[in-house]
Amino acid sequence: MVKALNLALRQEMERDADVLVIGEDVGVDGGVFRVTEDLHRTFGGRRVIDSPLAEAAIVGTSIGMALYGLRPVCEIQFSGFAFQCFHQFENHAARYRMRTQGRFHVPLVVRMPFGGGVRALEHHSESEEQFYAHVPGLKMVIPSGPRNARALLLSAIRDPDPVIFFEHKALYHASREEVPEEPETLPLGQAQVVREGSAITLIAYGAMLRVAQEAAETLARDDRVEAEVIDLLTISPLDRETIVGSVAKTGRAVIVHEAPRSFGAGAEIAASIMEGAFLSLEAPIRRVAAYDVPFVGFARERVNVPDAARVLAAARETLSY
Amino acid sequence: MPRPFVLPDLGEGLVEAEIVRVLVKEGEVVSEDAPLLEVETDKAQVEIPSPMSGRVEKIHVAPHQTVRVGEVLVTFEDGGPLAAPPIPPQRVPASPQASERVSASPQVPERVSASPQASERVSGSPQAPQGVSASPQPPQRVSRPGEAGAVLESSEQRTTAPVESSKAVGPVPATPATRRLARELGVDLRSVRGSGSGGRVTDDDVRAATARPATTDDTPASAPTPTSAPRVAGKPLARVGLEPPPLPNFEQWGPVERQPLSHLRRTIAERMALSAALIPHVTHFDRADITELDALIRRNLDAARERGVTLTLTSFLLRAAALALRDHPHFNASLDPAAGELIVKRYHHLGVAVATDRGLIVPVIRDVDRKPVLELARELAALAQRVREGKATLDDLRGGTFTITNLGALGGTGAIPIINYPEVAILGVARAREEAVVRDGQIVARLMLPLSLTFDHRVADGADGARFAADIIRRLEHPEQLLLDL
Repeated sequence: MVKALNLALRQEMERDADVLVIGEDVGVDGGVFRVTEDLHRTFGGRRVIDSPLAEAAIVGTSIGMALYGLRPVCEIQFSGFAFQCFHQFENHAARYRMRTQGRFHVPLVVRMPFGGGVRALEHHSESEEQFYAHVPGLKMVIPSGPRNARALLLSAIRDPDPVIFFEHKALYHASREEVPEEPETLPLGQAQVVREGSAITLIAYGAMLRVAQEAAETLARDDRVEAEVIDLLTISPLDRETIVGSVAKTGRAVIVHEAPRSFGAGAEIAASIMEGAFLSLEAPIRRVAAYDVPFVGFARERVNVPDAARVLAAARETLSY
Repeated sequence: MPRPFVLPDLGEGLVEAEIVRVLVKEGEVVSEDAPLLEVETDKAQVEIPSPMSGRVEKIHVAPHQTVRVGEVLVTFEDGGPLAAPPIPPQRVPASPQASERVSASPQVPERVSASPQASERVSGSPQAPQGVSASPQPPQRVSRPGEAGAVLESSEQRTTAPVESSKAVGPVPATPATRRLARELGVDLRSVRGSGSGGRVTDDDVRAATARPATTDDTPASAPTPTSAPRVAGKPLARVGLEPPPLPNFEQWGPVERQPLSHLRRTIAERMALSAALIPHVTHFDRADITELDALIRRNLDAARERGVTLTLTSFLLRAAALALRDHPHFNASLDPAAGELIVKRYHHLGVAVATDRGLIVPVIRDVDRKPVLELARELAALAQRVREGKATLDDLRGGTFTITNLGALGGTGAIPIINYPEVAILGVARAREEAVVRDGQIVARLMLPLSLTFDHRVADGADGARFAADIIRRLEHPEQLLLDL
């Protein structure tokens, strides 16, 4: 996925001279995960900017550049450090369009690695999508693989408003897929049904998509039950239509995310299902998520992060309700 | 044993506070954590909650009085936390959830909000299910979230509902999907005994509780009938006209087994007997040369499949029949013998007989004459799937004006279908076969489709039927006419 993201940045910078990259170590070093590798050499220091270790300044500066008409793509080294710039997100980036009654907008993309499962230190494994998804005016995008990561990043850069773009660390190198040379985009705010089924709907995003798919495969093989799997791709704005349409068909839903369970994206998805497909429900909606604790140390992270067995157990309970 | 309650340490080094308001009265029963009084300190106005459940014996303070930490505020009559505060009988509300709230602080006006549970309960009784023509149902206890407000508009319901709700212990356990089914079938969930886990009412319980489909209201409704349990006696079929003679004792010739009919089987049996007994049936046979139509279907199979549709002969039959019905409206009608009138329908909703493992079901496609063939094929596939999965709604099954029954998949050279009462005609279709046909003096192989049109001889005569059938056949033999609405 790293290469796909790099390709997206490179092609978009070639296409549009207003696109620039800024962040800690993104220049000469090519980024801590090498997403911006070689961009500095190709586009130079004026378009690939090594910033000081100051998250608020990276985003604040970028908002200024975006208002000026550029299209900055910031990198925050780990999402766990982005709270430093939350003020810039909530108080400024998300509000300019409304504050100026549409005269100014902020075409900003902020990329951040997130998520656990790579045996990292504290503050390096969390899933914070719900904070951004809750802020009106921000879009929250989470790809699940190289091809949709590339397509979504292109759309995010071309989007006229601020987009928070989460990249799951576990997918950076583990996720491999053919990505076409020709630029392709995916619309923001649109989920994908990646597996069709009629018995139950599994809803996931990011690295949890593969977990949900694995559970769906086991259900098909061992239980002879066809699960529909939805890849959200965009957390906010939420594609309620796809979710509700699927659950109206299946009558059952299990939501999987890596963020702690309470007040997470799963709660909003579950509420949307209740509102849109209540009379189709055959069983309570289940959430499979991390526990309500700060992300545990890496020795225990496999217990904390949902796996296919937990999804499977929840799905079977839902199916036999 | 009286229990004094003193002004607790409010923290932050504060030693005294001024009483702003006393929120309870002497003699009042309060529960633990219910607000007792409001005090103002140097820093803020604070609500002091009751430390226990019990009856307030004496209040020692009044508003504007300054009290020091440790001074007695209130004495409780009875020490020890009470399991549940005693509630005056006239205040016992309908639901257990509501009782706690209302009794907690009934004397404090700004605290007593109409308990949401109670108000929902009042508004929870929905209207009788729309479109169900069975005898009017009593208000159901089916809860309808999101529609609660709309129901309030009937003042009659508002006044009668609380009386009713006092009888109900709580909502009947059932999943939302089951509630929808119950509403569609006009079943009162409270009258159904749940067989699911935890006493939950299941879809099967609801179906078992439907005496018969709501479309036939000419026979009395009946009690729930178990369908699968062994050794359960069946229920007599509704009689149509003739009294059937008693059956002989078959056991005198060998062992027998008595099997109660399923609901669907019973419905089919009654409707068929009704139709066969009431309607003088006449059947017209003919064959359509569908060689060209078949080629057309084969040519476009892939293109249709790209749009997610499997082109079928039945979808063309639907279109051909609907267009022919426009020219022969007497076949798109129902006879009203009591009024001596023919009710001609200005819509063309065609039923298609679908064989399921439970029995024959006839889902209905609306406005067939106004839809292109591709759309018909798509709808028919979806409808048939819903029917086979048992997910068809009542609306999927009602309102038909004419029926097509295609037995082609199972072979046969022809069958005489029975009219789907109270319609006037039904088209039977058997398997198309290549046959040796004489054309211009030459014997050629053509694909021939046997058709049998059964119609109500009270409404139409043989010549009418022949012309109607010919109009269907003309369109099947010249499929471009289907396209041109000819």
